[in-house]
Amino acid sequence: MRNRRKRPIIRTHKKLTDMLADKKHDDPSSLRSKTISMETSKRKETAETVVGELSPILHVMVDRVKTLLGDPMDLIVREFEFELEQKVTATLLFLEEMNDPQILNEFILSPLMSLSSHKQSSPVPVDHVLHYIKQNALALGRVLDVETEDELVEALLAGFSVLLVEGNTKGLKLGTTGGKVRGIEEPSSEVVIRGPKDSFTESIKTNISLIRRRVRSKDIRIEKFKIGEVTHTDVAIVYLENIANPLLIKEIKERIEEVKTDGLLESGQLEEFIQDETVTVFPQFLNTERPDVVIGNLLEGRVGIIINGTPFVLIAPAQFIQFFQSSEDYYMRYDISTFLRLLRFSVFIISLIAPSIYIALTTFHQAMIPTTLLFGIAAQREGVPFPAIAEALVMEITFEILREAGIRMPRAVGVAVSIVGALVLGQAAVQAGLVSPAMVIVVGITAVASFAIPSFAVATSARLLRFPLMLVSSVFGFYGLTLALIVIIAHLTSLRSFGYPYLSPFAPIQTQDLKDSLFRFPITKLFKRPKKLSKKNQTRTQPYSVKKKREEETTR
Amino acid sequence: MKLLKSCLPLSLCLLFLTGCWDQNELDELSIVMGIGINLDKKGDLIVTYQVVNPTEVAPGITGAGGGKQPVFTVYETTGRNLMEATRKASKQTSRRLFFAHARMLVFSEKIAKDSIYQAVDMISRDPEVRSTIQVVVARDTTPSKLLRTFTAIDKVTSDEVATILKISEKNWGENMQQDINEVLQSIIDEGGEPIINGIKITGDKKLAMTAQNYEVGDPARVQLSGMGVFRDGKLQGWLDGPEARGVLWIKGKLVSSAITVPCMNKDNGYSIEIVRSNTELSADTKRDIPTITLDVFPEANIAEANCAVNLENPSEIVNIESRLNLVIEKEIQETITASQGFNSDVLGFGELLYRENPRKWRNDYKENYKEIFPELKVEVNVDSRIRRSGIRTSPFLFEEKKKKEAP
Repeated sequence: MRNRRKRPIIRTHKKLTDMLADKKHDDPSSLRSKTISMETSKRKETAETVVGELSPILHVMVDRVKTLLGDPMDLIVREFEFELEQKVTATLLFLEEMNDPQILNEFILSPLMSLSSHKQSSPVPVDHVLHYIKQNALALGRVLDVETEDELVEALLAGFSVLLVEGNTKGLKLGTTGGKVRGIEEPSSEVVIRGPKDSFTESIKTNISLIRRRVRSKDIRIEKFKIGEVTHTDVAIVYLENIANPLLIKEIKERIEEVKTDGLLESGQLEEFIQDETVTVFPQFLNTERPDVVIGNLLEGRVGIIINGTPFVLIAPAQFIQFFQSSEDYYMRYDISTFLRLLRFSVFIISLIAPSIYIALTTFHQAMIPTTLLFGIAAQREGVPFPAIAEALVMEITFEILREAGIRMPRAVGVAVSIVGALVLGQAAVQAGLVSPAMVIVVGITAVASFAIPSFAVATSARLLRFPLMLVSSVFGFYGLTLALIVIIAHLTSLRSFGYPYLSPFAPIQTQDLKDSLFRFPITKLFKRPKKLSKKNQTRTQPYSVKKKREEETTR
Repeated sequence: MKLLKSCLPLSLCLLFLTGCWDQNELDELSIVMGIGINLDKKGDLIVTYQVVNPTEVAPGITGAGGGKQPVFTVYETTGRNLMEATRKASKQTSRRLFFAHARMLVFSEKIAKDSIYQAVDMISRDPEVRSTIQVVVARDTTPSKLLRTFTAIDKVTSDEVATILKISEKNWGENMQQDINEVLQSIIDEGGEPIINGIKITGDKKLAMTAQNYEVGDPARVQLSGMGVFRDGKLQGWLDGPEARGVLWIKGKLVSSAITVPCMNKDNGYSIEIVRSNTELSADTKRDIPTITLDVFPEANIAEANCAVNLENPSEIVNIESRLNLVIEKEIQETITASQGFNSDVLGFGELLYRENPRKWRNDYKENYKEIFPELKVEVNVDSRIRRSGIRTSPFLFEEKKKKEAP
């Protein structure tokens, strides 16, 4: 936060087009050249500040690395010799668990050690050894030069192995990265019945591969950043160049580059750094662990942000309505998808205001309760010592406690929590006359409703807002509740995610985009991309319905 | 941001310091189901409130105290007007009286004969009392007795009466639901007068007011009994039986009923079930004494045929239709004669004349409508249609007759 200075945020669409116009006058490649120059300048900086170039004497170099890294136990220094005209001494440095031993043995050590002079047509001078073995001996895809100590250390820490040869002021960093990573599993937080069952993992490489495998387009762009002064976390943004708005890409890149922090462990942290508005309970990024969700959004002109070390990929910009959509909506028939979307939205409303409505009804608007039900509730309230608001707060907070406990508890103890929750706090509290049974039902439906929202992020917003709404409706009844809801809606309309209106396509209204909002029209009708997101390339590949084709065939 | 920060504490104060003036927890309310109004000797109002005891009425909830308690309690106060009496009730009740769910407003015959105007204003003005509250007159009894009567099925008397009214209007048609809105509307209507349902207690009247009334097989009951005709807010008399049904025919409110029609030489040969009916009214205002034409179009089924007729013969159906027309016409004529006898236009003819010819109404009729109304000529045309005869055609009596006649 402290590193984030206020910057002008693209607020309106008009401004966006203006900027687009400005850009035309500029050098068209300014965007790319700027980032390149920035990188080179950075490199220069490091070169100036760092003390040494690489020493040609091997043991000096090894000692130097050891002191720099604090002689760690997992640093392996493998010295060996091979013959090229004369004997050459070389050292292979790597951090043990970050490299694949098989690759090291089979593709580096064994070809090098079996090198012999008689194969050579001409003698190789010492300073060309590196070049020679790079060309002839190393059966590896990624072999790069290392010129400074700093680069060397960085390469080691990133999981490369480094080959140093006596008498050379350069080294080679070898892409032998390995080590244990979690395999691709089913997503744990976004389960679908029909749809792909793979999910992202903690490894950015795996995640990028999952996306690349699905989109075989030359237009896909993956750009890398390093964030975290200490952790040097890899961050990548993914987008489709022919669809995404270049200004959006520029904005996202700028914001990511501005992030200064010690370490980045999860996408949630990055989210907080680069979001438009801090004072809000609503999420401004979609996060997902499903590759198909990311790609679906890329196709609409959004941008994916992948962070190494977490399976949760951010998608920006996000609209409010997206939190009620599930990728499955597009894999099922449109009728049931529409029904489910409407259901999810009503579920959000329930989890937001169910307790407030109960409080308002029973303390202010008893006339609105059907007579028989009123008798029931009144009979239950008989002998309950607390006002409805206290009752509701106690029960809601109890539920929150149970929920939090349920997450933290070791799985074996979880059963105990549910027993305590169901029996002691539900039944016994009613029997003891602390709360009325109707209240338990209200809290129950609220709780279940909050779990039916597909996005955890927006479910938490409802969870938080529930309490102020309860307070307001206990003081002002439906009048207060209505006012509070108006405030919430006003706030929602004021929110922007990377300059894009949060409540779009409802406010401002986008009639085309409404087809895929609370409703999901048949896929053949969804031939437009979200209007403001994909300025460049509005129309999807035109659907050519099978039926039409058949008709044409028959007329022929 | 700064503004928000400074507003936040203020709005928090708003939350906690305002004191929730109209907030009422449910257990601080007494839910009034019925209101009764009577006159005492001094001319003050006696107001009776029937208040439910929710723990006894709610399904599946056993009383917190364990012991059996009555389903409702009754409070009674007197005052010079309704508001005074209502507020005086707080001397007796530990909870605020809550009127939003009141379903019945009972007038005693005494106050009905004196004037109901003194009581309807507050009921219609108070935001809490619903305009759907049913208005009835306690016939041959007092509101205070009626509201103390224990009824067997719907445990709260007021609830029972309101439900009886609803069911009876739909199935029998000698009473119609009259809520406070409709009563006021008929008072305001040109030349109009209200007509209010009568209700009485049948059976052992002493038993009626004890909880034992629940326990006997043949308890005292509340029962609808005719409709009271008013003039200038004063009860004039009662329309009973078919005369009362005539009101619903004329107002087009009859939904369904059963009408007995003679067959051959049997007076009660057919029972005809009315399934829907439509009434059209028109007025001829050319002369000094206007003529009103009533066209009634009932649709009916044969519900019972207790004589040997061949219902497969269409002419027989036409025959029944014409007899049904006569019966209905007679009912309607009787109603008109009766209301003309009371000189009370409960049928809404004045409003009809006004709509037909507003200028003539204002100039000629309005002033001396009291003289015109009894002289009104009403032409009644009934054109009924019989649609079905249940799940059989000819009655078994006819089949038997055929068998006997066959050689």
